[in-house]
Amino acid sequence: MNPHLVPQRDTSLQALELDGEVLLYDGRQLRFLDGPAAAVWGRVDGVTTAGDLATAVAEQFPDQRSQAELDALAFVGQLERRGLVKTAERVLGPVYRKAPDVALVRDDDVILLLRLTEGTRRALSVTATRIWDLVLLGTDVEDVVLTLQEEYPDAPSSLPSDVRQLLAELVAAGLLVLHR
Amino acid sequence: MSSAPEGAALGLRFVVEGKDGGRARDADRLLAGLASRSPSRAGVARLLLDDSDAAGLDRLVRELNFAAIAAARGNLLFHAGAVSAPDGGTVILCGPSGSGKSTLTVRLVAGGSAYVTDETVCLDPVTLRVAPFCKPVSLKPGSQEALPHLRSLLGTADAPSSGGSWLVPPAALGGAALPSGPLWPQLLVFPTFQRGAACRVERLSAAHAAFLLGQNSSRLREVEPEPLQALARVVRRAPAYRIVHGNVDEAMQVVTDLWAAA
Repeated sequence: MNPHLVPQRDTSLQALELDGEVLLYDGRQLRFLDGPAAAVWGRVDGVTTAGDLATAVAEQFPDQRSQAELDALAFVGQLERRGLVKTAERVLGPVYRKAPDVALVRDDDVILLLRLTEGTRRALSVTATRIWDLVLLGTDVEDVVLTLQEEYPDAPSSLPSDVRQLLAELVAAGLLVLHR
Repeated sequence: MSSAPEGAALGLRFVVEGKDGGRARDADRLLAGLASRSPSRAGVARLLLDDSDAAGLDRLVRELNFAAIAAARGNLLFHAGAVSAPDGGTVILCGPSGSGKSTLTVRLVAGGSAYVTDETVCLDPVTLRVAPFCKPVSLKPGSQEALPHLRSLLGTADAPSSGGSWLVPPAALGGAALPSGPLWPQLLVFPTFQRGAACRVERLSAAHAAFLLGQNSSRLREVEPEPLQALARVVRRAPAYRIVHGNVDEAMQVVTDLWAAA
């Protein structure tokens, strides 16, 4: 199993967790996962890489950490071979979500963000609105920069840091939430 | 053609039709535990007793089992035997053919429990209420060693041989009458018979028990609303044990002790 791949659960499966063990059902076959297999399944979230997932599971077994990490990585591979997870072909960067208490008003190609619990607001420029839209589609930061560089051939060299600074400001203002 | 009185099994209403003769009377006796008093003949399934060969009764009982399972779709249906106590608490003995569940069921009935079924345990997936299915018990050759109280009966008209098995009507098993109130799962047992094996008991986790119940289910995908949640309700309600044994007396004592503690 390539540790940089990102496993995702097969959404057609019915899953039930009972006391840290897992039952999976696809309408034909019932599967039972316990121990490390259940721990691996529990951490498959469509965002965490197989390597990070294996590291997190191995931390539950500090005395045999390196072997546990290899075993956990092998389990991810088993889950894939059994059709219980699918793997993405590339590693995903940080993922952002709109904060739950934020409302948004769009006026053509600019938006006004309203933080309902605080009563604050922030208007985004055309470029900032474009960054906001790309990020909420799940585009990671590297691809946002590449997209903007294509759309704005005259973009300054500081564009990558500008994008990161904007996202950091939006997170600090409680308008965006870092999912990963 | 003659008709036996109407019967009812897990939502199935049926009559048995076949030629006049001894086997028709055997069918009446075997299915007396499923007698229905409904005056209506609407929606009644007709099961045919083939009187032409010795396996006709066995086939009739199997057809009845399949038809009852089909009529009960949407419920949890476990391949299991079950017996009840007067308060409605029910032990479910779950496992594939050859696991010894029918033998254990019969022994528990002989010990004073009420006979619920030996083949298919039906539970409402939400309330977990157990529906009795008092079909004739089907005993395989070899089981008579563990059932000395039935030995003289097996193969007679009261418990005829058919298709290589003995069919024993519930009335011949002894035991208590079914409680008048609802039946509910109190203990789950997954028996495995291994000749010569020492008795071993293992408490099962909830998920493992749910898995084994699911493995021994019929029509699980049709359970409403969600099959896994229904299995989870069962295993949260009743503790589960796996019992490996080579001696029915030992197994029965273990089940009795676990039931008393449940």
